[in-house]
Amino acid sequence: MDKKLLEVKNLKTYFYSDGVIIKSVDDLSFYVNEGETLGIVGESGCGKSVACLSLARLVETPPGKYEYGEILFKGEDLLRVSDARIRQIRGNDISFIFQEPMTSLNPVFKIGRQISEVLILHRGISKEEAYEESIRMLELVKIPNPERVVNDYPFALSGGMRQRVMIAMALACKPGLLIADEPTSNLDVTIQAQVLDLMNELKEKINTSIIFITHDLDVIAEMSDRVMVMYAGKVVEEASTNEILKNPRHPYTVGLINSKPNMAKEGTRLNVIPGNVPDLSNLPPGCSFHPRCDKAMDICKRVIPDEKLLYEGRHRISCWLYAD
Amino acid sequence: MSEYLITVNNLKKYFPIKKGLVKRTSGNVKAVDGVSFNIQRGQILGIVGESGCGKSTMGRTILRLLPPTGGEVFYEGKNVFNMSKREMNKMRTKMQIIFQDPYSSLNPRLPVYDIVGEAMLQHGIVKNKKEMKEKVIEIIGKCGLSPEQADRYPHQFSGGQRQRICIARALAVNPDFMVCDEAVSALDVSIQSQIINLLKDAQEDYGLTYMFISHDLSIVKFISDEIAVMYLGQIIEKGSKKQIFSNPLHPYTEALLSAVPSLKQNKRRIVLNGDIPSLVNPPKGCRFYTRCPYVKDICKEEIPEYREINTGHFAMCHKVNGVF
Repeated sequence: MDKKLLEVKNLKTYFYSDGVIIKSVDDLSFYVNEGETLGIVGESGCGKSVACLSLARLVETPPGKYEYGEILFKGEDLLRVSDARIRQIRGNDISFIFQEPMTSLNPVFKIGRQISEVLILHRGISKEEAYEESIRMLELVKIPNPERVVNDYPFALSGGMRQRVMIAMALACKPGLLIADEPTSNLDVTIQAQVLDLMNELKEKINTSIIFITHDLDVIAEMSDRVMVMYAGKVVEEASTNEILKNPRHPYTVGLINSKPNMAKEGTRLNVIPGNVPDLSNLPPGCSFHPRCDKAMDICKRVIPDEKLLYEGRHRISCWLYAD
Repeated sequence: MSEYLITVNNLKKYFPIKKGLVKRTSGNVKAVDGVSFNIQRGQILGIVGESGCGKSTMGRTILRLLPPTGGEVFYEGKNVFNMSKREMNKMRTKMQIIFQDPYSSLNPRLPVYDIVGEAMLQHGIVKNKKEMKEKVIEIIGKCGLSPEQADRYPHQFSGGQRQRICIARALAVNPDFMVCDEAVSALDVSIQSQIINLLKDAQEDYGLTYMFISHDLSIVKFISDEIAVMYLGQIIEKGSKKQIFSNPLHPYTEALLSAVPSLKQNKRRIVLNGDIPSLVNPPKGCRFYTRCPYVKDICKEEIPEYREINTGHFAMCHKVNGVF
């Protein structure tokens, strides 16, 4: 039976700046099962990164503030544990891979030292042991000549290699949950293919759950078991990957899938979602998507739709089109 | 005679590496190393390749925004590299470029009027400021901006709108040829499709010829008539869209196409080993041999010939040439 590793309930992460409230994450609920990959899709500013940073309490406060909600990870509410405890959890139980590997590695320390640091801190092993383990981790992520690379500085590595080092660091303590925030968006397609394959392989080996954040639906199709689509800080739709790709219900998801260039017929125009991504400090009333929605009704402009579970609970959606 | 709008002949662009106090040249980065091709009037040539393969450098060198190291570029039979300053100044109106990053390619201190209108005044397309303003409003209208937005400054626009301003600026001088250098890569998915439609409309309305540089194969497939694949400063395959996508000849093209993640799950993928070699010391013989799954001894020694295999379908590979 599927066991929930992480459950987020009604999370609200707001930012306060110059008297403006930015509701980056607004009443977000979701869960991740053990050994599962959850994909989160959305455009820039939809709150997908802030939601995931919130999971390990990495949002800077102030200007950010966790207004409301619970983050249950293995029975603990991460929003309410002590600072010392959350430091134990970061890197040990929950670890991150970010988009830009060059800025997330420290340029003045050797690769080996950066991986060792995690191991020494969380597992309390000696420097020598950590060094050996670092080489083993580099081997695991298939870096050629790990004995040499361990003594290199980050600048000596290519983008794909750096991202492998990041994966090695993130997996050093065999975390229960790996959060990958656009890990391949900056890489070339052939390198992206290598990194995605590696992540899928390691997921089996280490038996970790993954939250995979991306704006690229094609990557989601390859990586995740379940997909959650976000828009303006809220979930608009969630279902299994197959279901979302074959039967998208929410007009935004439908628009995203249809606007892909490979969905268009030869010699025609691309389907578009009109308008722009909304400003989070000044959201339209009612459903945030209604100004761009071609199926908008009167009620959409006034009232925020509730989340509904459809098709025996397999499909979660927040749209007035599917209200009873 | 002028069936081809642009003819490129053995174009080379090297960047010298200077070392020491006297700045002795110790080597060259061979960013573009002997490429030849033609573009027919009214056609869109897509250029694909991974980062660092020289696609952007090629685009800029063709427009003479970078001084060439060798080779020739003909515009309607006239050699662009031999033109005098005055001739070149006239030529600039015929050839325009749109860059990837709309944030850094617009002057933050100028309102849209001046950004779009400056070149028109400079080249005498409009006689005075009043005429310029009318013309600017007309052009930005075609690009999907409203007249009252012409008074605003770049920071007041979103990424997609800024890219619209860039396109308006390029169209303002009535060009024939446009280089789109990753023109949609920095935009959100839903905005990307809007801009692609705009570029396609502009092409039809003004009868433009594009060189469309992108690393995103699905976009190139949608927009181009012909496609050239670049690897380490050389074009290794060129053909019509159909030839490239349904019958790729070069092993690199094959791998590149299979590496693209797609909504169709579980397809066969060729994962290339290793990284892209350095442009300072490209491999001897075929440049792709270090990563090629079919590599034979001859590939390491001899540079394969760039040959027309089928009508209009060129490739540079020993295997395809029937050497083995």
